[in-house]
This record gives sequence, C-alpha cells and structure tokens, in this order.
Amino acid sequence: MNRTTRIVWAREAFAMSCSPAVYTALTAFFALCAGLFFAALQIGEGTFWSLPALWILSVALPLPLLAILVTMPLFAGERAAGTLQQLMILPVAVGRVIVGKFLAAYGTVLLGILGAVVPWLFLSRGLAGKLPPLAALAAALVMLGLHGLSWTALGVLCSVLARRPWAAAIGTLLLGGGAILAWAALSRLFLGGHLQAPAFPLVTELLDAAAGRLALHSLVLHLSLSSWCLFVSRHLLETRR
Amino acid sequence: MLEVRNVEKRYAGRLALQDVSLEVLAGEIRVVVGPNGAGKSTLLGIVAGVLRAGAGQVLVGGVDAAGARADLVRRQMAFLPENCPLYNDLRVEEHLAYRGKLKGLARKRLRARLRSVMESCGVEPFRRQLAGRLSLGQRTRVGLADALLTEPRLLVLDEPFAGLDPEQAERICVLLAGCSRHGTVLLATHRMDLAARLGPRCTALYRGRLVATLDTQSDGPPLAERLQALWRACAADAEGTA
Repeated sequence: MNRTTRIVWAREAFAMSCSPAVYTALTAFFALCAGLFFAALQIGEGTFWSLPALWILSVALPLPLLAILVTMPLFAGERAAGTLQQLMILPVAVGRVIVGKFLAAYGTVLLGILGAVVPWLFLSRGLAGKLPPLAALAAALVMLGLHGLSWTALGVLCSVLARRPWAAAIGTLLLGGGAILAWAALSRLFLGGHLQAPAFPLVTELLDAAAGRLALHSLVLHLSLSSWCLFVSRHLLETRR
Repeated sequence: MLEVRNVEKRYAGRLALQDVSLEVLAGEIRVVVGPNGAGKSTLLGIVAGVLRAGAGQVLVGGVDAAGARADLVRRQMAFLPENCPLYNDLRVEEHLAYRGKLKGLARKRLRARLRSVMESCGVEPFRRQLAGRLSLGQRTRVGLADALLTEPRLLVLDEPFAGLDPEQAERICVLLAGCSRHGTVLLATHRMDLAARLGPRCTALYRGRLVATLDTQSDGPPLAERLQALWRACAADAEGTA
C-alpha cells in the first residue's frame, strides 16, 4: 500500500472506530439483518426458498444503508468542515487519498457482512445435519462482499459530488436504485428474446450465490462499476483542485 | 518569489478581484490590507491554490501555481485560511502529526518539527486537547503550527492574528519575522499596528482593486491614518463614478 493511502486509511479507520454514527449504523444493520432473517424464516417456511437464500436476501437488503452511512461523511463531511480544501492543497495524489478512504469504508462494510454471519451460529444448533454446504455460505459471502464493494464505491462517488453528507446519502440511494433498475431494463432488452431473462438480475445473482454458484459476469460487473466510480471520483476531485 | 499577474475573479458574475498584479520578493513579509469585502481572502485563496482565478496567473518561484507543475508549488507553500478548519475528532498533536505525515515528513524529522512548532506557536499547553474544543485563538495557533511544519518557502496567512490576545499576537509577529529569514510571507490582516511592524510594504485592496502599495515605515502619519484617508478617497471616487 502506498504511504499516502496508508496514512489516509489509518486516519479514516481511527475516525470510524471512534464515531458513534458508525456504531449506530452497524447496530442498525445487524438489527435489520437479524429481524429480516427471522421474519423471512417464519414466512418462508415450507416454501421453495432455501435457508441461505433467505439469509443472503435479508443481508443484501440493508447493506446499502450501512455503506451509505459509512461513506457519506468521507468527502462531503470534510468539505462541509472545510478540511477537504486544506487536504487538496497538500502535495498528495488525489487517487491515493480516495483509495485510502475507500478502503477504510469498505473495511467497515466487510465487518458488517461478517457480523451478519452470527445468526448461523444460532441456527447451527437447531438445524444440526441440515445446514447448507459451506460452499454455498462462502459463495453468498463473496457475493455480499461484491455488493458491498459496489455500494461503497457509489457512496464515495456521491460523497465527492455532494456538499453535505445527507445529500451524498440521498445521491447514493438514487444512483444505486437507478443502476439496479437500469440493469434490470437492459437485461430484459438484450436477453429477453434469447434467454429466459430474469426479472431482477440483482436478486437472481444473489439467489445463485446462495445456491453455491458464482457467475463470472457478476464479478466483472461489480469490479468494473467500483473501479469506474473511483476513477470518476478521482477525476472530479482533480478537476476541482 | 511570488508574482501575481492581472488576476481576476468573479463570484456569480460579481467581480471580486479585478486586474490585480503584485510582486513579493524572497524573504519579504507582504501585508495585504483592505476593508471587509475588498478581496483579501480571495487573493490569498488564489495564491494558495484553493480558488481558481478567472483570468491571470500566479507564479511561485517562476512556476505557474495552476499549471502542470502545481505539485512543485504545493511542496513549497503553506496556507492558513481565515476560519482555520481542523479535524475536530483528533487531539491537537494527532492533527499536526497527520498533516505532517501527509506533507511527506519522515518520522524522525516529523517528531522534531512537531516539538519545535508546538513550542514556537504556543500550542504545547493544549496539545492533548481535542481540536473541536479549542477557542478561535487556539485554533489559529494550531493552524499556524501546521503551516510551519515543513518550513515552507512561501507562507500564505489569512488573518493569522484572529482571536489572539496581545501577548500571543506579539509572539506570532516575532515568529513571522523569523520565518522571513528562510521564506516569503503573504498575509492579510485588519491589525494595522502589527501590519506596520511586519513588513516594509503593504498592499491595499478596495472593492477588488489594488489601489496602492504603501511604505509602512515611512515618516509622517501612522499607517492606520494613511489607510483611513485612502479608504475615504476610494469611497468618494466610487460614489463619484456611480
């Protein structure tokens, strides 16, 4: 890791470890995940939904909330406080600052995803012998990690664009929602005639991961989206410098 | 060391700076004075690279501050803005250490510089306090310590005496005089008593225009009186033009 990236990452990780807002976000995320999972277990019992499928959906749904709350102050908060201006006049590479902040935020999001595995520990007692294969759980975790990556990168981009943290949060929600809808529309448009196009590719890839299948196109899509967001963020900050 | 050429800046169509040119020699302390809204902070912001000029050029050591070699200028310059933003969740020494690391100071040198600037700027007594709990005067001192960390060749200070008591202001004056030995200082202030002592010349701005460059140590009426007369003349001139 580059020196500047490491310094910025350490600073952001420290700030997050002391921030009541981050702890509140993580607590709310865990509560939502657990609540949704146990509600889904009640409703989904006896249906075709598998246990990992219910779990991955109940974690993927509140995941954007965690990513948004963690990323919104990264640049917008610094801009509102006036420290971003002071940071930009230093002889540092903007791209490295962005990567440092992004890594700190993504680390927190990953911590949230790993924490959401806890319900399995409770379930493992009651479902002895009926637990899903480890590969399915691992694939689900990787897919959630990819979703977290995309939401965090989108959050960073909106934080660079916005003047206030709340505007960054709204922007991320709108941009992310728009991207999901656009993805669904494009899938229908281009795949509808040839294949059995899924109504919502986002849900499909989550359910596939819960069944232990990881598609390469999902990996490429999330990595490209994240890289694109970080690249645009760097360009925007560089031109405003 | 510093050359400002025909700089112009507009805010939403309104001219904030109009055709301002000035030259500051190496080792000089140049004070920029002017009533509120004269364009002092805008001029300093453009020199520091925080704001972009609509027209004109800023050269630091012959290098265009907004050009391809802007990073070279950033390495030689430090800026203290008027409101002095700090990382409020960090303790003073943590804030300074973070800034020093970003400025590229190696661990050993950073430790030595931290000790030195905290001592010279009077930050030592509150170095363990959270930056968010400091008074305006204390924030200004921390901002100044931050600016001095790398011993910059060009120091740009916007209201460095804001919130300081007379004793601290005096201390900062002595410190700036010392800084001019290895660098150039461009500062804006409303404190005429200190402006007269700091540098041999001061630049007067009025409504975005450079109206005069005064000799601060000349015989005759004090600088404050001369400036009052100048502002009156400018105001009368502006009314006459209107």
